[in-house]
Amino acid sequence: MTRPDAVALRLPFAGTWRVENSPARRVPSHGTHLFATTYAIDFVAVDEHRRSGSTRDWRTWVATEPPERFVGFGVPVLAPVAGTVVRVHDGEPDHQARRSQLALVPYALTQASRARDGAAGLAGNHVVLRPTGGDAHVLLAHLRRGSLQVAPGDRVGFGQPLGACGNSGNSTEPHVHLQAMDGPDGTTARGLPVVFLDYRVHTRRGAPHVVARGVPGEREVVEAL
Amino acid sequence: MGDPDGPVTDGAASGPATADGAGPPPRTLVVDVANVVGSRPDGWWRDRVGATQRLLEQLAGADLGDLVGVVEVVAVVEVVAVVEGRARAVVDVPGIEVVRAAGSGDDEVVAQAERLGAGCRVVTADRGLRERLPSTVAAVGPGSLLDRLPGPTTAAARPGVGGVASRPRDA
Repeated sequence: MTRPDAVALRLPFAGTWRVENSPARRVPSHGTHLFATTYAIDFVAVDEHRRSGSTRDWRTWVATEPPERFVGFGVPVLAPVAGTVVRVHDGEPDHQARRSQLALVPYALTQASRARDGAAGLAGNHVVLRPTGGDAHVLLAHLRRGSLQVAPGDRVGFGQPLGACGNSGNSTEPHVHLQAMDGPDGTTARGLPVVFLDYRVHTRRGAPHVVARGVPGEREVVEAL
Repeated sequence: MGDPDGPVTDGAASGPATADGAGPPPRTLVVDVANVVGSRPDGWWRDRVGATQRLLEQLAGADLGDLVGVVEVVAVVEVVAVVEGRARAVVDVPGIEVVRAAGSGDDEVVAQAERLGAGCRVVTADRGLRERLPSTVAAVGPGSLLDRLPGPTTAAARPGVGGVASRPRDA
């Protein structure tokens, strides 16, 4: 069972997304407790063929690709819960994307310098929400530059657009990074477990099934109800 | 991909989740009770009437303001609970309206949604039912409702396995 103090959320987007680095697979999900990422989860938008990018060519395998090639780039990111916006950051560029392992090598070398840049370097453009009636905080990261639609102090209902999926910060391809934490600042807060309400799991064969409350598994393709 | 309904999956067809959009903010929840009861494995299959009665009593005592998705806290959310089949034997619960479907529960939920219009939101995971709702009526899933109820949440939440599926006809 999920720990009773898990922060209950809905998926922050429409359409089908593949789960990566799920806390259902391992904790800490991102290989570290740093930056409150203990229970963080990543979502990569996919098409009906479960692919994150419709175009594949030599660049996919040996080089970088423009983020516009990816299904998720620019897709609205929605409030996963009703709450108050406590922090936003915009202005970070959307990087070229890197699906190829080859291209990951120089990318990985930049990690230490990104960490020194703090939250903006890691999370890129992001929003931090405080759900109504609780003291948890929820971070949505790597948003597209210029896409943020909310400001600190805004009250948002669940499902309200916050921005768009991008490739800013510590991101190898356009995706949504979501984490809950016990404070607004990931450099000092601790990660909190999350649980998702009302989603559909699309299996490779057979009918999709509905989950009322759960944590999607690694590489599952999920869709909000 | 994408449901044509649901507050998260489609703002355009369902009306915005916020109060600053067109139309009145939703203030009534129409609950597909059989679907919600079926989404938590509390032994409802052994005692359908008892499980339904438990849910109705929890509904009456719940704070459901943020389920209707408006920005402002809604002091009063009316609940219309549609029950069907044997579950119609429940007794009424003060504070909520229990509607006993004469025939199909889905038909009754659709009729209630049509009567209430944009002022309501329907709780169901059933895709077929969602597709029958008026375009101005948004839907929300049973997990979101159960999360707002007092007492322990019994919907399963095993990592990687997820909770129990709703009625098998949802696909």
